[in-house]
Amino acid sequence: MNKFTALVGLAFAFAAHPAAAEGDFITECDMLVSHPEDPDRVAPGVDDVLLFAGRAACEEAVSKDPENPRLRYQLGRVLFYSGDASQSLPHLEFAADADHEQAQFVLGYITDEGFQGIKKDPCKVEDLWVRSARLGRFAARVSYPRHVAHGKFESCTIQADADEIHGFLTAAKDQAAGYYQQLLVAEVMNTYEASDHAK
Amino acid sequence: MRYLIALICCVLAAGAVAQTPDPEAVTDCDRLASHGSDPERVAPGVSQSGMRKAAAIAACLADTEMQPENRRLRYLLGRAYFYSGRPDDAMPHLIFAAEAGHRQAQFVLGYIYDEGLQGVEQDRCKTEALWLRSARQGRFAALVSYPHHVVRGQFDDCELGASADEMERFLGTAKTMASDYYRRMWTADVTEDFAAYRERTGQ
Repeated sequence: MNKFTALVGLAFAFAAHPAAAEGDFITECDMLVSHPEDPDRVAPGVDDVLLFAGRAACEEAVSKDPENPRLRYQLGRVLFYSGDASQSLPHLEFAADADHEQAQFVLGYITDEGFQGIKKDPCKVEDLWVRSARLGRFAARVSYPRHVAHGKFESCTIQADADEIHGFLTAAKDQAAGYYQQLLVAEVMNTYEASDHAK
Repeated sequence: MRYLIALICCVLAAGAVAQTPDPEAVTDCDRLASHGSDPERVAPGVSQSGMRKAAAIAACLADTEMQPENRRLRYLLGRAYFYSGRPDDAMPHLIFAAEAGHRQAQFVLGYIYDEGLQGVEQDRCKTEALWLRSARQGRFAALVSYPHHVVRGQFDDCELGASADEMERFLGTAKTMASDYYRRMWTADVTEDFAAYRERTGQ
């Protein structure tokens, strides 16, 4: 009887924290589609996504938890890799709007390059990357100053001033993992220092 | 009797073959100390933080005793020593491997001289020579780092072994090898800097 009471108590305790239980629950979608560099991932990342299985797993996960930015980003990821940009974008947009820093960076990258026929929009990139950089994503902290220095946001309102951009790069220097990332940060620092925006 | 003699000859020949290790065979040293970006590695890479250093040194010592001329194993022993903070033990092995043409050892040794790591005397002209040999053998890091240092004047005191045209070819090769977002960006930025350098210096 004591064991039964304890079990019921535990069940109620979990039920009392549905958000934590849902938010941190590792799904098949996480196992199959997580990005290795996503700071919000809850499973080891995968470089080679199994498209069919990943899509099915993420569609199921999102149907059960549609407000979860991590799952929405991952569904967007697998759909994009499947070449289905029009279905992918609403999920990436949702996740980016919900401050998922990886989704913000990736959506910016897609928009910057105009992948899969998506219309290039430098000012949308500027907004996505500055938000991602402010949340701490390494790739955005390097890419944003690099684009500013190369004049790629010239037609936009540049939201970060020189001090903030310095801060992005200083933080990126501490985050850099390995030889290439360290050299890249040093390279972008040099380029940014020599740019008009830094002066 | 003839059969017996033939059999003895076969056994002796087999014994002689068995005592000559296959230089491409995967050893414990490879398993414990390989670098993920070494083009000559024969086992999955192990990061610096993930390396069991004492075990790696023991395995690589045993393997290099069997194969003292194997440049890959000598590089790995040097790597394990260097990560263990033993540069005096590491350097002879790294130098041997680099001189024997191991492109990863050439790049790494050049990097150690470039930075003056662990008290090794900084010598950028040694770096220049090592990275040039590594780049000519197609090591990605050297293909980009060499022109990067030229543009920044870090080889100004040395006699440059590569012409501007050769460095441009290095960067062209690196562009085809850049395997991720960061390497592509770094290669693109150094290429841009190098083009400006050529224009500035008229080379």
